[in-house]
Amino acid sequence: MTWVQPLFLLSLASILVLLFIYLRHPRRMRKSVSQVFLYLRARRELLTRFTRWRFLRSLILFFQVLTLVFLGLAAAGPQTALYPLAGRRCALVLDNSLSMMAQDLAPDRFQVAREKARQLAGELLRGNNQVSLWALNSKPGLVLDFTDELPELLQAIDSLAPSFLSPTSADDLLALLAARAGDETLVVYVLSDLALELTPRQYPNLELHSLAVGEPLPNYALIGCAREGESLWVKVANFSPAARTLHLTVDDGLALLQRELPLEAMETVDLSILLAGTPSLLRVSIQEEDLQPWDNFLFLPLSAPPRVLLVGTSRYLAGALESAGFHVVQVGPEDYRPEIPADLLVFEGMLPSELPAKPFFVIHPPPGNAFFPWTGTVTRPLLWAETSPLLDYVDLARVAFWEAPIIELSSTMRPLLRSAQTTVLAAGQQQGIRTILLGPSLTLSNWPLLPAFPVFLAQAMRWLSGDPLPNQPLEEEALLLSPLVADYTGGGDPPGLYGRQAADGLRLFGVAPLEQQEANLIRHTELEGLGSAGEQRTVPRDLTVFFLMLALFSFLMEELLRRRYD
Amino acid sequence: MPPEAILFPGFSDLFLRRLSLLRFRPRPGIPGKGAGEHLVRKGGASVEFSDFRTYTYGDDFRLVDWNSYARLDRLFVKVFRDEEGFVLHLLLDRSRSMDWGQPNKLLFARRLAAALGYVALSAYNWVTVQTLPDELTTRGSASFFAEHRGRQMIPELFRFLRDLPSGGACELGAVLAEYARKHRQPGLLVILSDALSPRGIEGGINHLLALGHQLVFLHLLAPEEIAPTRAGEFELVDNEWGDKLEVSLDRFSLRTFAIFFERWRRNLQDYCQSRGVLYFLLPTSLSIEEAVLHRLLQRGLLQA
Repeated sequence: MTWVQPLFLLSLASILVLLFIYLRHPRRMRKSVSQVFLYLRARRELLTRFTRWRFLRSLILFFQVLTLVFLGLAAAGPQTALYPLAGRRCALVLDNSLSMMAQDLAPDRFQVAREKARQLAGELLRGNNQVSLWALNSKPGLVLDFTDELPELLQAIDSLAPSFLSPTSADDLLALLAARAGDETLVVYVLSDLALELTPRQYPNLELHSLAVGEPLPNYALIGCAREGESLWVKVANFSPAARTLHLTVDDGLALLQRELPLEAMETVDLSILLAGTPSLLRVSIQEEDLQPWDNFLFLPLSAPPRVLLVGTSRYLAGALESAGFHVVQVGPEDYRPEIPADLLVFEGMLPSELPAKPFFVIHPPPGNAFFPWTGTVTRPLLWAETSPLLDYVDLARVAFWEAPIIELSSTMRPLLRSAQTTVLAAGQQQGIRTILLGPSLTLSNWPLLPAFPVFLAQAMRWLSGDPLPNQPLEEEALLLSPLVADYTGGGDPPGLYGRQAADGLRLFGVAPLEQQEANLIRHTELEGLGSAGEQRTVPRDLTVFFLMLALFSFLMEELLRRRYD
Repeated sequence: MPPEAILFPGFSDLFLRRLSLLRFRPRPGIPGKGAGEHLVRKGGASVEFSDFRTYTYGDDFRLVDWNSYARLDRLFVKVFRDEEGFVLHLLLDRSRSMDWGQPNKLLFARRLAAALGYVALSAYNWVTVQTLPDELTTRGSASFFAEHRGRQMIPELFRFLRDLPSGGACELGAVLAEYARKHRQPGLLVILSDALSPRGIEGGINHLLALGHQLVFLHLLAPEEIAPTRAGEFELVDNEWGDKLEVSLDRFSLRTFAIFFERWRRNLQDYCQSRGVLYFLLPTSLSIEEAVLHRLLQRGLLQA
């Protein structure tokens, strides 16, 4: 329970009111009389015979009892329970995603949630509600439509098994629920370990109750880093519910320094670290494991990235190149001019009539081009890879192409990935210029959806630009952010997979301009608003302060009445 | 102007003259003591004819009714009522509760006692004054005025009452019972008190009645006691016992208290009347003339 909340402050204010009333209350005037026993008897008579006085005395007693009751309730640490509903339509959402297999609750979160769902189902159906059952996983959906039959509902709950896919967010679920609710308000009980907004503003027809499953977990984050002259600025946050000493490491492949950071719960610190030497790329990382490992490291390039001219229309390709650390300028095929300044070129689905004088990467050259002529196509080629530095750390096991052109390669091109009929990927020189050719169209492949693609793309571009890339002065300070899934393809595995230790893999992480720091901060601020990413919002709310305030009010009333009539 | 008039404050010459015309009118059968002006039932030597009785040997021939002898040829003796004095016991409550009110109850009681004592002494009756709550010593106490008779004792009585200070706390019922135990000479006993005793005075009255006293209770109350008017939040302090009570008095509770007080007083009055005690309610707002010459005279305690 946090004490800094309006009710508590209000109760403090009422103490002041009480003090004010007490101080302002005029003192009783001392009066000498010839007797008091008759006054005493008269007052007893009043209390026993006259309804008004009896009522007032009862009222005083009532408030005294009420004060004690409220104090007792406050001491008991009450929490709001799910209020009983009657005649409503309810949705029971059971999270069966992978994270629910965590065993911080015995036997595991999912079993606990399922038991709670069974209990909740009984309670809701006793109130003549109609209840539907929904599953929350990577593909949330309806399990059982609205029913008032308890055995049927319990059977559906029991039939739910843990899924091994995790939802990225609850947005899809909320959209489905809102659509199912229609004009009527739907009461939704979510049993999940996701932190959900209780009242999603975009779905006013949902009355959402989130029943947290799981304990608050630690969550640390590197919010941002940037170069400030000869120093490195790092912002570190501890979003955990407890204090923790974090170990911060800065390295450029070799460890530069390590520092211990004692951080209180929900504390954020700014560090300024003097840089030694002239590293081209720094990695800042927190060693401790937490709930979200992908925000525990940041990369900071200290040299300017090469400029890439992307000729094509694919947004995902531009995003992947940008996140790999390149400055990308994208133009349509019809807008391509050789004069456009660039260090590297990427052609997607087109080739100019004249090959450029700079290294280039061709993806799916059009049929009938003069430099990589087609002789046919092959469907679903079976691939195998050659050994090449370009394919280091590139996991091609799950990569598939629906169709690939059969291209005759010049002798200066070396196949890297091929099938029995054709070469899918090749690298070499074309007219003395470094060239990489990818024959199939990426729109007919799952490769962009896999982590292997940005890994390959980064290494390919690095090879094209020569090794090492020429150092150039920074145009502006840059902030490296961990890539988000959405930056790539809108789906796939968590970005944490990219956190390789190999020096070559460092540039796989996206570079974002400094202004994106704000977005990153906002994201964490939102998490902070929830307590932390690991802390779950619970429906039961601590009512201690509320009852303390009621007790105070009751005491105030009793005191006023007692002063007046006792 | 009688010399004693200047001795007691508040008594005018006219008032004293009117007092000197008054006599007590006790009920028949009051025990007498010595010669006086009060006619008693038994035979005596006054001019007040009472009865005839048959002549017996040794009767004074001067009392033989010769007219009856002439008509009936039998000797009858005329019997006359005797004139005796009686003892007036004045029990004056001077506890702290009496030293309260506007006008002050104790001052009123002292004046009343002086007036009654004046009447009694003027009629050649015995007067004794016992102030309460002091120790009940019969002689030599500053709070006790021993039995005296005769007009010459009026200045002494006035001096005694004039210099009387207020006393401490007094449980009136117990003190009356103690008085009955120590003073066994019955007579007309007048209690001047506010009766504000938490344990009541009924027990003491019973003891006095058992001894054969004719009791008169002069209930002295201040107007503010009978009907308190001042509303507000008070800490009431009993000036006799020191008890404290916090009360909030509004108009309703004041009215209720007045009703309750009146019921308490009426209970006491009923008790007195049921036992033949002459009860007088005398608010201190009355003047002493009004109290004596109207209330006591009209209700028959005194007669002109």
